[in-house]
Amino acid sequence: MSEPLLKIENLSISIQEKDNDRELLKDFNFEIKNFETVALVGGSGSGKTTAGLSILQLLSPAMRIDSGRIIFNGKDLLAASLREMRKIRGKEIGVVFQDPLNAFNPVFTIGFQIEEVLRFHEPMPGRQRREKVHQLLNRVGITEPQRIARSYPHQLSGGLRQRAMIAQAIAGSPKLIIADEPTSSLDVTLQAHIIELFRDLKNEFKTSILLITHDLGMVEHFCDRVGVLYDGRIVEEGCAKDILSSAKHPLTCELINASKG
Amino acid sequence: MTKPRKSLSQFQIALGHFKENRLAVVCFWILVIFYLSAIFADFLSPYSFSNEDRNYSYCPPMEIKLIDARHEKKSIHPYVLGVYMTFDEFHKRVYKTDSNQKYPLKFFVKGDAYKLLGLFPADRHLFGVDAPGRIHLWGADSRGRDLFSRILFGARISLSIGLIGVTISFFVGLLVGATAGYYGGRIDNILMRVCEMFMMVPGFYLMLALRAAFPANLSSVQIYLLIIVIFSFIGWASLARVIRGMSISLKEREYVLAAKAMGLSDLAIIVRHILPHTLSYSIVAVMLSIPGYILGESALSLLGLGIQDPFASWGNLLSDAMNIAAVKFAPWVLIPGALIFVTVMCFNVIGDCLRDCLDPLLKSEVRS
Repeated sequence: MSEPLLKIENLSISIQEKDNDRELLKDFNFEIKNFETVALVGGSGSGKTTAGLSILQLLSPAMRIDSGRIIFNGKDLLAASLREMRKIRGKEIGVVFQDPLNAFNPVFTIGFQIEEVLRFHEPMPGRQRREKVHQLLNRVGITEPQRIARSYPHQLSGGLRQRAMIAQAIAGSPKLIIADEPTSSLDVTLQAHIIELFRDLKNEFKTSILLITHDLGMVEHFCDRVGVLYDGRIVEEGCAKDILSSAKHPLTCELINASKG
Repeated sequence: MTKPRKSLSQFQIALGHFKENRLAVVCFWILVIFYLSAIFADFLSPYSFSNEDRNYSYCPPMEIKLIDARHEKKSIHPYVLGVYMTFDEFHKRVYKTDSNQKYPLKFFVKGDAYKLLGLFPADRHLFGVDAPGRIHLWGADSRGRDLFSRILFGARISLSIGLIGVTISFFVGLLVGATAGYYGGRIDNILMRVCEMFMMVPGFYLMLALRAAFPANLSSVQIYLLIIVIFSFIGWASLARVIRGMSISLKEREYVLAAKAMGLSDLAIIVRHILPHTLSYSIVAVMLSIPGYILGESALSLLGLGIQDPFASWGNLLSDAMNIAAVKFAPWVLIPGALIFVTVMCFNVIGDCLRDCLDPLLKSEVRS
């Protein structure tokens, strides 16, 4: 299989401001192959999250896609209708957000919100659906799935919430998981656990993972390939180990030095 | 051993605060009593709403006597005295009681046939007196119909119009407001301009104009439904505006983005992820707007544009009181007005209290 799972070609995105439009992504090219873990790294404001959200067509209305193509699984997502997009979101592409406290609706239980994904994408009887939610929660390393499913987001610790978020992302058994800084709101020991979990899930579900982060340590241990983003452009791309050991671009070096402290 | 303290849900916290407000609790129970008596009006009232006896025109409220003073042996069975009509020296109608005619008050007596809750045919009434006597606790109107019975039947219409009307405008308001706020842009613009059109016209005149647009000779049921529709038509706009503002801010929350990323449809996002967060505001808004519906129905019926005789509503019962002579010689025709006042005050007090209770900034602090 030479055809990549996701291929972004010459993507340019700009945001409308008062006088002139500001470009967020310029001629952005990127690929993710099947069963590959790819990282997008870059400083804040470099367009990492914009790139991630553009795959799902979830950009804010002020942002405009000027040119380019996003081919996912042989389908051009930019040309897809809203109805087609909905079938892809959650089912074929799962998302893990940065801050699980904000990404869960505070008025519903965790179980209900994971069920929501299943209700839309895999019609099945309610009892079976709840059973599946418990399995999913168990799968992400939660030992008391029944209790957690009944809890509200604010009642859980940050680590549990992030695990529940991941359970939600894998509920539709997606081909691609986009993880937008999944560990930045967690402490260091938990970060290691979450990364471990991602690795297991990747092998089990045979998914690709797009990791959006600024944590280079995580990239080194976990990712196959890495793209370094600066001001909306990929400045360096290649095998994760090579880039981190012998960075060519000065901005990459700067990032590496910054992470070493 | 102390019991472990259970953590309180948001609802329990709000309930606790509500219970602390004595006035609101009293108002709540008053309303419960009003609504229950409206539901069981057939059973509680001694007569049906159209049962009339012209000999009792403007008969004053009767006193229920417990003890018969003329007997040595004191009986504790309640009774009312018979009344008869004469004219005084000014040819004014006066009612005199006849102490020889005793009509003992009886419970669960047979009377006008009705259907309890609209289902079970029955003819028992909670209390009554044997014919030819009549009992008028709160007096009678110009045609000798029992005011107490008519008020109970009128409560059905007056109290239900508020609830049904508010339910409809609540749903329309929530849906329109959330749609406008969520989609924004042109949809928002169009919906909000329509809202403003409704808010621009003074409510009462819009109501009269709408009523005038329909034929006058409708049946009472049709008028009842028409009034509800008219009120809902007017009432949704202000709620929609506020809900729109709230949804504009709510749609920027990350869980809405997350819901989109899960592939949820717009309707599911609006209903499940935006509207629940506006609930504490809209419950209060709804509570505070119910009185407007009750007063509106009364105003229409008072002007003769609402519920028509022989059917009763608090508004058309009050229309008797538009005649100054009636108020002078039969002040009990004002009782429906007092009940409207009490009901409206109760809703306002409860709404006000709910606003305080549902405030999310209110912590469950222990009061000393």
